[in-house]
Amino acid sequence: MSDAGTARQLALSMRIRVIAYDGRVALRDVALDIARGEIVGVAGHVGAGKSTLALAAAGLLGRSLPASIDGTIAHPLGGRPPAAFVFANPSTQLTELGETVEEEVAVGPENQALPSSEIRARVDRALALADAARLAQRVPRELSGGELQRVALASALALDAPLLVLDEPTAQLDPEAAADFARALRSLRDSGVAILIVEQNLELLAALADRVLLLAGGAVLATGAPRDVLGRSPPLDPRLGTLRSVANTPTKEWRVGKEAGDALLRVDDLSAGYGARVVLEHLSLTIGAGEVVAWVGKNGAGKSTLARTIMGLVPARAGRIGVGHVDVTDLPVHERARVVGLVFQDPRRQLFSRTVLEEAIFGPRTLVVGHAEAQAREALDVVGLGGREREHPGDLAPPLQRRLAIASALASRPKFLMLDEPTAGQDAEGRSFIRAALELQRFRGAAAVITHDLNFAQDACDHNVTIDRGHVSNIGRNSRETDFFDRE
Amino acid sequence: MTCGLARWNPITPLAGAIAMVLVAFVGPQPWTPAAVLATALAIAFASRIGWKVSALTALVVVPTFVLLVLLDAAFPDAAAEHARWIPSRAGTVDALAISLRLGAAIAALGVIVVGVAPRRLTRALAARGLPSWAAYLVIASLEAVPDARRRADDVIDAQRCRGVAMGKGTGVRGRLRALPALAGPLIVGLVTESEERALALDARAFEPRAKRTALEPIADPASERRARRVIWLALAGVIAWRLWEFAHSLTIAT
Repeated sequence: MSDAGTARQLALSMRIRVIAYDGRVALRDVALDIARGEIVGVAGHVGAGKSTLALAAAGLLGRSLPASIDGTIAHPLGGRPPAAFVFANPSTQLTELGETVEEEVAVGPENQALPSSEIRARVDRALALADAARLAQRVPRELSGGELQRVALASALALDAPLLVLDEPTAQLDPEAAADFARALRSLRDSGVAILIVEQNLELLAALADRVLLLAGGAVLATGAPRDVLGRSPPLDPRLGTLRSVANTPTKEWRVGKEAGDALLRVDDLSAGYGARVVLEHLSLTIGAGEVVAWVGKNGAGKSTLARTIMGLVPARAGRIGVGHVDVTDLPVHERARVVGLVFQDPRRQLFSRTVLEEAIFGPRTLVVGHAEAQAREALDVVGLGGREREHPGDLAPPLQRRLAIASALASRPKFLMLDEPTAGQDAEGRSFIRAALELQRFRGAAAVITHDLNFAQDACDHNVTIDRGHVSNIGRNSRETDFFDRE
Repeated sequence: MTCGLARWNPITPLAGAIAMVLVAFVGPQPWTPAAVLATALAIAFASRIGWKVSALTALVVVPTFVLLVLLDAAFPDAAAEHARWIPSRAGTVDALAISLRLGAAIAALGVIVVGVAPRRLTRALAARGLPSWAAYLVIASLEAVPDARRRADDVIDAQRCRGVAMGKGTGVRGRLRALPALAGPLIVGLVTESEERALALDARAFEPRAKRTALEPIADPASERRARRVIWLALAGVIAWRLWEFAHSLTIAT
């Protein structure tokens, strides 16, 4: 397949026969040209070869990442570097050469040996474009996931490269920030930058890309206009799902304050924070038995801190927390784990076993809850990892590792389960598995999902609780993501 | 609270510290290292980092002194007049001299370690020709311990959520049982993080041997350049004086 655009100045021209890691083929038979002022989207199921394509396009494969490449990758516009890259995990973007956000963003232009006045101009422009100017003097490792994602974007923009490659750049951004981000990309395109964006968020791709490439099993399945490729029903690849729009999204009854059983989680007048910084202030909320609730809100609003405080990782400065009939406020974390579960954004912090099954067994075995192995196998089936019990957790793709972490928490059978950004990087199939896990948890107690994925929240949750600056500001239905992107 | 050294070009305090260490070792004992130690601590307190530098110095000097005195008492010379386990005067003076030299070096360099931001120091050194790879190595080494601690905290949090008991009241058996759950992700994290860091540097146009510039170049005013010349001249003077004394003593001996 050859793409149009040769009449214009090309920023990328790649002809790939095979890209392999240790003999394992990850991508084959891909031809892709991207011209200046063009946005090309890449979609595909987990393991389809999207990140490999992105890394190859940026010229990073075969250098820091060992891979064998049979084919050519050319950047006719040159540049040092010829492409800027935004990683799926924003912490990967950090070089640690800078102490503050501003210094971290400056690392690229400093490496390009630019005069300090030009570095300053680039840094200020990149921070403004990424809506991160207010973070300039913050320490990067103290930022929330969404804030870090803006810094990652600014760091790439500061390189002023003719080609910008983004690997799931909005996974941790709240919908408004993602819409701002889309606007920033459009203005970059208008200024002549070529953009390659890998996304699981089909709505964002449809709103942003001039054309899309659909990958499946390491090869190109289809290419064309976003709505033609992503909006087909039935979808070209069922693992990816189909594009949603306001028109084709069924209206759903939101269950607010009805059908829920007795209160399962009670948070009364809770205050918490880090050092002098107060994050939660007199927050109260209740979740009924059988409820699955989405905690939504802007980046840095306090959603993850609320989960960590309920889990006991952040001490409550005031207020009480009750689960069922037990006041857990003063219980140590490992005892709280019998009734409360929390799955973090980064599953790599917890995986250590030699097999997937051992990893899932660890929780119930440590807590001496029920029949550990049976519970672990059941949880693995629910999240779609049944049949992969003997695999090494480190060999799983990051979205599958995330589902393994969910299975591991589910197997311990807590009454109240909290998942922090569980759908980041998941395709439609993965999201349906997570939804199944939440349905199972509904019968065992209740659950809360911290998410910026409002479509998932609408599908999987009974209602949204909006957290804003440490308070509950709204309970009920929120806008869907399509609402944000359709404003353009 | 900002350290008083922040207004200097980091090269100047570094030059001062190196000179002080050399003077402490080549000057007459034990008064020169004592004077250097006092000067370094005075600078540390003036820079509002006195307690940290004092604690760092004491942590090394006090055990060294005690150990040397104990060794002298435990293994006296065959010709010694004092009894075993009673420290000799000469041995104590020697232990004091060695400890003071060590203390002077620790205090002088401690002022740099505690008071000068490593990234600022490497930026100043890079402006004077330090290669990018060496600057990165310095920063990565200095950040290794806090980085590992942060990662360990994350891993501990994740495993506590899965029921692993940590902290007070956890017996030896419990700690041993928790070890694989803590060490596994930590070790894997260290490996993957180094790969990720290499990728991050590559993605940001980092070339190990290429020249880098700075967002905010560190000023090096003429007054500081003069001060450094004075420091090097003074050091050369002390070394010349001690060499002359040494040569003179050899002449007398012959």
